[in-house]
Amino acid sequence: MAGILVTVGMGPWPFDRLIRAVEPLCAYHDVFVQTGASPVVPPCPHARWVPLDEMRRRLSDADIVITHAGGTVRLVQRLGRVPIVVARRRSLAETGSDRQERYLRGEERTGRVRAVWDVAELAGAVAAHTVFAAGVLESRPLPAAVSGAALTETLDRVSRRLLGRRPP
Amino acid sequence: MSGGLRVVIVSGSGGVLLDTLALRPWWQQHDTSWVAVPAADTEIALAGLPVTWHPDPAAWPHIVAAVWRAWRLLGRSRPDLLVSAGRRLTVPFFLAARLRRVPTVFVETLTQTGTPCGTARLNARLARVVLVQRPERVAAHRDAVLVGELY
Repeated sequence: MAGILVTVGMGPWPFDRLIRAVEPLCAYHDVFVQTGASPVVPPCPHARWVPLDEMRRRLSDADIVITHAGGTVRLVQRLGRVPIVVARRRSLAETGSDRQERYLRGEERTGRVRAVWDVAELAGAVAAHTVFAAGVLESRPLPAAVSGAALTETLDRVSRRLLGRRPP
Repeated sequence: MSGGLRVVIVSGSGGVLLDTLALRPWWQQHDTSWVAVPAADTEIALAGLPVTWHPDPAAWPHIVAAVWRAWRLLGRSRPDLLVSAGRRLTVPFFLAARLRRVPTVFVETLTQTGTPCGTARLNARLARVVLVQRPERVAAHRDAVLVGELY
C-alpha cells in the first residue's frame, strides 16, 4: 500500500476523467484526492481545495503524486520525486488550451515525469512507478531554479528600464 | 533598485500564485500590495499582506466594469509597477495600467511551451515586458526577459 496524492490544481475546469480513473486505486492504497472544480466524489479522503502550505506538506509526505500537467509537476520534481502526470485535454473540455498537452510532451521527452495519456494505464503506472522513477532520476537532470539574488537582479534591471531610473 | 518602488501584484490561484510568490526576494524589498482572487490557496498564502480581494470578472461583457474598478484601484494605490502572472483578472488591470501609464510586467508560466492562447496571449501582448522562464521562450514575445525557473 502506497500513500498516493492526486491533485487537479486550483483552476475552474473540472478534471472528471482523472478522478474517476483513480477510484480503483482507493481500494488498494492510501489515497487523498484534491478534486478541484470536479463534481465527481471519489471513494477515499478528498477535498475540493487545499491551501498551499497543506499541499506542500501532502506532496512531501506522499509516496506517489498523480497530478495534472500544471505547476505541481515542478514542485514534485524539486522534492526529488517523479510525478505521474495526466494532461488536461482541450478536446475533452478539461481546459481551454493545449498548454498542458504540449508541456507534458516536452517533459516526457527530457524531464522527470511518468506521462500517462490513457488513464486506463494509470494503475499499471502506479504499480511500476518505483522502478520507473529510479531510472528517470538517474538519467535525467533537473534544471536549477533561479537564485533569489539573480531573480532580484533581473527584476531590478527590468524596473530600471521601465521606469527610467538609475540604480541607487 | 532596492526598496522604494510601489508595486502592485495581481494574482489568481494555483500556478499563478506559485509564480508570484516566487518573486518574493524582489517584491519584499518594495512597498508591495496585492490584488488577488479569493481562493483556498490565495487567502492563506497572502494572509498578513496588504490584499484587495477581487473576484475574476464573470465574463467578457463585464470587462468594462472590471477595467473601471481596476482604474480606480490603481488611482488610489499609484503603483510604479504592476506585475502579474495572469488569468482573467489580469486583463482589466493591464488595460487600466495602460490608461494610467503604469508599466506592466507579465510573468509567463513555466508550463507555457507553445503559442499562448486566450487570456495568456492577451496579457502577454498588453504587458510592457514578459518575464520568461525558459531560454527558448525569449523569441516568443515582443519584449521578453529571461528570468529563469522561478520554483
